[in-house]
Amino acid sequence: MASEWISPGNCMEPAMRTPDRVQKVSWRNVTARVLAAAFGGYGLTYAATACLTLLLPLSKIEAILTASMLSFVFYTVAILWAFAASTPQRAWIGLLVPAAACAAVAVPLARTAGG
Amino acid sequence: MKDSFTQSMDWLHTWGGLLFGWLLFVIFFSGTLTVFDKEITYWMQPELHHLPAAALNVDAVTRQLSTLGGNSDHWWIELPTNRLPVTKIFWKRQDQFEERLIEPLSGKPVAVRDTHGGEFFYRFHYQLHLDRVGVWVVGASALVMLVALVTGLVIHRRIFKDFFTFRPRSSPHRAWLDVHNLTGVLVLPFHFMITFTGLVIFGQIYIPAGVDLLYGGDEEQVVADMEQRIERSPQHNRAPLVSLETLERRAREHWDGGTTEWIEVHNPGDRHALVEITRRTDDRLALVSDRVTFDGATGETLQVWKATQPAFLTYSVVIGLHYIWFDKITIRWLYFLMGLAASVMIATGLVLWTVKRRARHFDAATTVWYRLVERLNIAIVAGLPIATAAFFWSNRLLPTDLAGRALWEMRMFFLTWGFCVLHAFLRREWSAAWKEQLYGGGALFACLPLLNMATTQSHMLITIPNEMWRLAGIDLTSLATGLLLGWGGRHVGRIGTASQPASEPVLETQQV
Repeated sequence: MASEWISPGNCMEPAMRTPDRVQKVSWRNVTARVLAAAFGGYGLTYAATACLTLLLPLSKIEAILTASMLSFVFYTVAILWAFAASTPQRAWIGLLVPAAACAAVAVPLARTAGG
Repeated sequence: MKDSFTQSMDWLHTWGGLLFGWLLFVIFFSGTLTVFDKEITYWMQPELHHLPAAALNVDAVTRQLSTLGGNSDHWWIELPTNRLPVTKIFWKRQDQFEERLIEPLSGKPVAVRDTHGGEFFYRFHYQLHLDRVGVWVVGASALVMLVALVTGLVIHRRIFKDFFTFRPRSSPHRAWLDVHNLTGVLVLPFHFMITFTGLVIFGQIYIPAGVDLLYGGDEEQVVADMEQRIERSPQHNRAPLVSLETLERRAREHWDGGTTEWIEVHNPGDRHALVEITRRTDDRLALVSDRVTFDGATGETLQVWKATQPAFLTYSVVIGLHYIWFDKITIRWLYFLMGLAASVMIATGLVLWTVKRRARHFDAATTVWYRLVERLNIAIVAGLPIATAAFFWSNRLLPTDLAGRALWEMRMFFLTWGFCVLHAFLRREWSAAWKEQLYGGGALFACLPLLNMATTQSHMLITIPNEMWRLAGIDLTSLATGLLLGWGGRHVGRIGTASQPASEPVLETQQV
């Protein structure tokens, strides 16, 4: 498995296939992205959900439920980004920067909410 | 990841789908069975089959509870339904729970064989019988499923053309791909809905941001704030309990036609007794139970609770769509068929992975990995139905008075599955392993109605003429499953070997 060659195009039309050029994906690259998707994605989702919960002008329960229903949309998009970004570094940056921004908004709000 | 966005998404779809596919197949397969959980439970308790779907005599049930759970601090009565025409009573003393099934009209206890019934598949579906760890594993799988659905859409820009393409004869790989795409595209809205709503059910456990920030992580307080129940501690003065029959009738006046699911009594016989009557959710999408709470000693109405908050109601509809407790048999069958389509989509995706790669040759390490995938596919996709059939068979064959009988049914399920895993890995010819397991599962399911005939008085010769469709439905579905697995066994040999590598161009009309 270590030397796995993966041909692109499971379901693409032949015109789009490149049968003679297979790309090799390095283990380091895959591992970095999987970690970014799982943990970076979780961090971003948690921070964005926290941010939304605190910003919504609703009662506590209403805000929690609304943000919670949207959280899985954030997580899905985060995972897609982790594998769509051109390099693993960019994948991580693209997750950590928005997460930090959400946290920056959420932390002062959480203090005033008395949490 | 790759040169283009589409290729990256393709890679993610392939590998995410493969590595989580086995778990997802188990989750979707058991979820599909859970659609009929109550019907399965009923089928697995033949001692109940003579009970008429009669009206309930609440007073008779209450008398039985007073006799059995006299000085307990909590009573529950679960009322009978069309799906399961028996009354369940529970009582709690300190932390000791007791439970009995009783006849709805006479209030007499019914002796039934010990079984988990459909509950077994329900627990398997959402937590794999691994408690909280299982909840997390199932959640991670569901998230990957969501990603696989989105990436599947991205790599299918020709979605409508693919939908109308079925080439069973063109090449093995194309045939598998077409079934995978057909079951994927045809039922796509359901796949999205069921995966998303499943995640939302445990949303507060997976992403507890709001609970942590606004409640300091106190989950119980969140539930308390949602449900707004009245609490009262016992006064330790005796006072007779008001007739539950009267209270149940009074509660129904608040529900314009709604019926009662639960009657709960806190501190029965105490001056501070509370009676909570809970509305059934079988006639609404929202999985939220309206409640009326009475003073158990005076009969005074203390609270009429209905869900009114918009986000709470939305959330209740979202999870209600997953649980389908709204009791419409047509919708239940649609869910069952769509769940089956999802299971087939996952299974064909797993098989596709091996079919596309089988004709290629790699170094030893890769070959070992491919073999592992092939064998796991057999053990999961063909083995799980066999284990399920074994579970039903053991329900009819184990002695009814066996100690720990319900546990033995579960053990038979897992033991049988273990044998399937061994067989899948030890059989030299992979195609023979496929064939034997599919035929084996097919035979077990096809013969289940015969076994039912030999062991019970509620087999098809009796249930069909008497129009007992909930019982006959299980036997007929079992027969159909047997035929389907047999058909799979017949065809699996022919579609096993890829006659051409996947990377060769396939003859088909070019899109302009």
